[in-house]
Amino acid sequence: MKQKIDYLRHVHKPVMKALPDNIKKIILSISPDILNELEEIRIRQGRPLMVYSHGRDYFLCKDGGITYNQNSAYIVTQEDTRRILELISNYSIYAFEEELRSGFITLQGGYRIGLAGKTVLKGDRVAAFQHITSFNIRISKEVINAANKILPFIIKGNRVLHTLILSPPQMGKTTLIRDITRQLSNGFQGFRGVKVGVVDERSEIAGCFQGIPQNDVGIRTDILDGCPKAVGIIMLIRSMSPNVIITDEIGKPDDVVAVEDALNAGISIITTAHSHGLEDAQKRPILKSLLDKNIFQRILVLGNSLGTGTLERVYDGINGKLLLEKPIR
Amino acid sequence: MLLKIISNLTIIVCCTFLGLHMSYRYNYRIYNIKILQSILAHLETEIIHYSTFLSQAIINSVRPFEGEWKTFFLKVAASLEDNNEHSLIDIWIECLKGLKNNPYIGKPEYEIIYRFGMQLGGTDKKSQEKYFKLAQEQLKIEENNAQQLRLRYSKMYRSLGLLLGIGIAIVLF
Repeated sequence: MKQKIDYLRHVHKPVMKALPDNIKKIILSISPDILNELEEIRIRQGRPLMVYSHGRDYFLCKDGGITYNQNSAYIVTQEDTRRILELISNYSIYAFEEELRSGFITLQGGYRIGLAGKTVLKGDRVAAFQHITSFNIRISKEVINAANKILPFIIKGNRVLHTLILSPPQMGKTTLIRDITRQLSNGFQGFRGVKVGVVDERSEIAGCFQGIPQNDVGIRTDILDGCPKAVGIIMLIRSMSPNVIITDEIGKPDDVVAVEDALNAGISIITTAHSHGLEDAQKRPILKSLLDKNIFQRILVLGNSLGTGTLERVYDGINGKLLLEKPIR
Repeated sequence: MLLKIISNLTIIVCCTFLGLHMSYRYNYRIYNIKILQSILAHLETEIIHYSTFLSQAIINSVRPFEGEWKTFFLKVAASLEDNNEHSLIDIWIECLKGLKNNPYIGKPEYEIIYRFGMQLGGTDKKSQEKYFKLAQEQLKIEENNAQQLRLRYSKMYRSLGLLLGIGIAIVLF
């Protein structure tokens, strides 16, 4: 029990600080098996308190026990959601205006809390949240060396190839790209570190808290936190002279233009997109336009055939040749 | 006889000090209101322009000042940093209790700050700016009222203390 409490208090201290005492006690009472693989804490006002672990969700009772019956689960109250909002914002909602508009807040340590509720619109843009009633606390895990098996495919000599990583949600795409950033920036045996620019629109890669990266993203990495990708890529090209630009979840027409600008400036691009594979990506207009232009020299597909984060396929983006036939993890 | 003179002189001195103290309350209340206005102005800058987290914003804002309000704000900041059991409103009310019967703080400014605390930190910058403006306007009115009270009663209490002392001394002599 002591070990379990220490694990959460120290490893995920910022998350524990963001929870009111009653919910904290419940989380601390969960069995170690579920706790160690904890991926998300789901808090929805008027509905059962849930955690997501081992690829499925569990209802939590008042005593921290697991139940499959939602009627015996702890029901989140309005006071709970109000307190969580106060705690995650450090009693300072005004300091998170932009983050609230984007629908998430990043805690110290790089933990991201997704928010949902009643939005107030100004034109077609979310101006504010009126009532925040749902929280998704994501327990981010930094997996050092997660990219070891992938790096040989995306590096040629001391040059980083333009790479697109395709993956369905929750397959470790961000964890992978974070470790790629760290290794390219720090360098490793046979590769000298290069200047890396990260456009971290949703604060997921570096997990910046007040501008300081909370995850290890390397010593030669500059981060534009909370900046739209299209704008950020251009800003980095103009101001930080990176060798590689890394961004997450490309998908808007403006992103494509910015990627092309980076390529013309001689900068390598590594980016990701939500997709189940190359065929699936071809069905999405924006991704299709990128793929048709043969911009990317490597296309990596992630899946879970051997577990989360399995590298299923690697394509040569120019000639479409399959470079990896058997999945590896 | 000598004893009588000494005791009467003591009464006169005590009453004079009492009068001075009553008079000082009016002066010190104005001083406190001015300090409070300055703290709020600093706090507004920290919140609106720098988006500093509330506890740190409070610490930064009270740094150049002294007095009762500084103690109150520092108490709030310390509670915000240590505590995650109570809401900001609970912390604010609890810390404000210490000022309730303070002779140098008037009831109106106490109530202004009480109401101000109910809104602090919980909204966007635009709304926070409005709450600061409202509090400052109300404090300005209270400052003017306090000035009038000082003009009316401060001198009176000073003289009254001395006269009361002399009066008692005459009766007892």
